[in-house]
Amino acid sequence: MNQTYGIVAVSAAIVATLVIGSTGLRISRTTSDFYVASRTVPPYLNAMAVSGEYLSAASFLGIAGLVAAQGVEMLWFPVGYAAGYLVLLVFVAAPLRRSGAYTLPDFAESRLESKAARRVAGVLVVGVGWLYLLPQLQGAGLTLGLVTGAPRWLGGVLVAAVVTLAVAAGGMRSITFVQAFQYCLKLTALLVPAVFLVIAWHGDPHPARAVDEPPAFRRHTQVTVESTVRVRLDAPLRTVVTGAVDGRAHNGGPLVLQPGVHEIRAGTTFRFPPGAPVPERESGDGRRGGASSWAAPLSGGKDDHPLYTTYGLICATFLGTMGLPHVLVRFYTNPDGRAARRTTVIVLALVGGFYLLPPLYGLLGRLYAPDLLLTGNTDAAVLVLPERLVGGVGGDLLGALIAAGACAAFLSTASGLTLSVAGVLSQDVLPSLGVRHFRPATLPAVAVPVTVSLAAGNLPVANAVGLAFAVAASSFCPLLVLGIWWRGLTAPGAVAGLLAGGGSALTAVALTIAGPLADGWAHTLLAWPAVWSVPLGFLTMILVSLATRDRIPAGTEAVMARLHLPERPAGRGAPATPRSDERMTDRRPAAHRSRP
Amino acid sequence: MGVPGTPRREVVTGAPRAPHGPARPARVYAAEPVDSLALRSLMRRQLRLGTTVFALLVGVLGLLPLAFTALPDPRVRPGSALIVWAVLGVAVYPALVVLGRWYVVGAERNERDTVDLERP
Repeated sequence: MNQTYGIVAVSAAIVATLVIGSTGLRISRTTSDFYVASRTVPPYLNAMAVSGEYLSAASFLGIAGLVAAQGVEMLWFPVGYAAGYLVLLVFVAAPLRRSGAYTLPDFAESRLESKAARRVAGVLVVGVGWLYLLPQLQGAGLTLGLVTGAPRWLGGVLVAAVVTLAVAAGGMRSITFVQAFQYCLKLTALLVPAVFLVIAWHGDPHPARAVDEPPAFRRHTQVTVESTVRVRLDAPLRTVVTGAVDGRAHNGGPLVLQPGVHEIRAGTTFRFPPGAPVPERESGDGRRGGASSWAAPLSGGKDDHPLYTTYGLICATFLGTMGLPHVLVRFYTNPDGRAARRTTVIVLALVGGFYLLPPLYGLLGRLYAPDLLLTGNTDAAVLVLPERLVGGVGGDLLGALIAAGACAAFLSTASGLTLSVAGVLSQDVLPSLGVRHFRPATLPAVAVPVTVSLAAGNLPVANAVGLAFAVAASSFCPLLVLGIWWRGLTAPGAVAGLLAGGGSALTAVALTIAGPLADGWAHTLLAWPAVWSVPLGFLTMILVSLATRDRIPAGTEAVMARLHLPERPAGRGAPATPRSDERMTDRRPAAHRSRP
Repeated sequence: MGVPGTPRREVVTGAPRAPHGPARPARVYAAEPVDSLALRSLMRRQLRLGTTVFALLVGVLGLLPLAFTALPDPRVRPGSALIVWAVLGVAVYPALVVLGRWYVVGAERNERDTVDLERP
C-alpha cells in the first residue's frame, strides 16, 4: 500500500472532521445546543448521523475480515447490527424521545424518581462506553499502522486526541454534521472501490470460483508470518522458506511440507507457487481455524458450539443496540417522537445498504488476498484489495479512499462514545455547572480507555465489542423495555435488574478475557453470555419490582402519558393554543429552554 | 464611515428566527388531565403492534440458524451455500426496512386514532 497516499487520505479525513466540528462551534451556544443540538435535527440528517456513528471499525474492516477468515456464518454480525434497530424502533424509539431526558441515567431518574437508579445506570453507561472505545482505539492503531507505517500506539493516541478536540469543541451540533459526513465518507469509501473491484474481478481471465475450498494462491506470492502460528496441511505443499519451520532453520531453499501440523516461527518468509493451497491456520488449542467448509453455515470456525454461539450473537446484537449509550443520545436530537420513528427506519435502510458491501470484500479478500488467512491479519483485507485487484495508481488511490473511510469509522464511533461518556461524567460525577464542565469531562472519558489499550496491548478486539453489546443487552434493554411498557417497575427492581443482568454479563466476559476456562461448555457460556444474562436481567427486574410493589413511583401514570401520547402536531388539528399546564413540557431550567 | 460616536445603521433582512419559538410546540403533551382509559388502550395497541413485529423478526430470523442446519452439505450440493449467502447477505436488509416501515404506519395510525378520540 502506498504510504504517501495513505497519509494524505487519513490526514484529509481528520482535517475534514475538525473543520466540520469547529464550524459547529459557532452555532452551539446553549446547553441544549451543546448536548442535543436543540432537538432540531431533521430525520434524514439525524439518520445519517446515527448511521455514521454506529458503523464502527468493526463494521468497516472487521466484518470483511471475519467473513474472509471464517465464512458465511459471520454474516450474522451485520444482520444483528442492523436488526437491533428494528427492535429499538418497535419498543423504544418514540417513547424514549418523548421522555424528554438527555441520557440513559436521566431516563432512569425521571421514570423511577430515584437517584440510586440514576447512579447505577450512569456507572453502566460509562462501563459500556469504555468497553466499546477500547477496541476502536486498538483498531485505530492497527489500521493507521498498516496504512501509514506509524507505530501502533501512535494511532490510538492520535485518534483519541482528535476525538477529544472535536467533542470538547462543539458538542452535539457539530457532532451531528461530522457524523453525517462520516457516514457518506464511509459509504463512498466502500462503494466506489467495490465497483472497480467487481469490474476487475469480472475482467480477470481466470476468475476463481467463489466458494472453492481450500483457497489457493493465484500467483507467486511471498508471505511473511509476523507471529508464530501452527498450520495444518491436508496434502504435500511445495514452497520456498526463509526462517524456521518445526524448529529447523531454512535459508531460502525449497521445501516440501508433508501433510500434518507444522509450527512456523515468527518472521518466517514463504514463497508459494501459483495454485498452491493456502495452509490452514490452527488456533492454539487445536481447534480448526475455519478455512474448512468456509461457505457453509455453522462450520464451527469460532467455537465448539456453533449453534449456541450464533444465538448468543443474535441475542446480544438484537437487544444490545438499544442500550448503546452513543446511539441512544442521538434519539434525543429528534424534534418529536414521530420523527424519532422515521429516523430509525431511515437508519435501517442506510445501515442495511452499507452492510451489503463488507461481505463482498470478505469474499474477494479470500480469493485475492489469501496470504492474510495465513498471517491472520484478515482485518486488513478491505485495505489491501484495491492494490491486489486493480493495481497501479488507480489501486493506490482507491486504497487511500478506503483508508480515509476506515479513519472515519474510528473517529465517528469514538467521538459518539466519548460524547456520551463525557456527558454522564460531567453531569453525575463532576459537579454539574453546565457546558463549562463538559469540556474537562472529555479528558477522563478518553484517557481511561487509551491508558487501558496501551497497557493491555493485545486484548481480543472482537471480544470487547461483543462484551459491550452483551452488557448493554442485559442491563439497559430490560430497563428501557420494562420502564416504557410496564407500570409496575420500581426503583429497587430496576437497580437489582441492572446489577444482576449487567453485572453478570460483565463478570462473564471479564472471565473470558482473563481466560481461566479455555474450552468446553463453561467457556462457551461465558464467552456469549447474552442468552442467559438477558433473561436474568428481565426476571430480576420483574420479580424484585413485584416484591416491592409499594414503591411504585407516584408519577408513573403521568410519565406513561408523557411517553406514549403523541405530541400535538404543529399546524394540524386544533390551533396550538398556549396551555396553562405545560408542567411536563421541559424539566430543564427556563434559561436553557428559551432561546434569544 | 460616519461620524465617530454615531452607531452604524444596519438593515436587517431575512426571515426572523420565529421557528424556534411557539411555532414548534414539539414538547407540548396531552393537555387535559390524562384520560387514563385512552392511554391504556393506546399503550395496549402499540405494545401489541410492537410485539407482533418483534415476533415476526424473531420467528423468521431467529429460526434461520436452525433452518440452515437442515440444508444439505454444500460439499455435496453447492447450491445450498448460495441460499445462505443470498438470505443473510442481501435479502434480510430490505425485509427489515419493510417491516420497520409497516410498524411506523401502524403506530402512527394508532396515535391518530387516540388523538381523534380525545378531540371529537
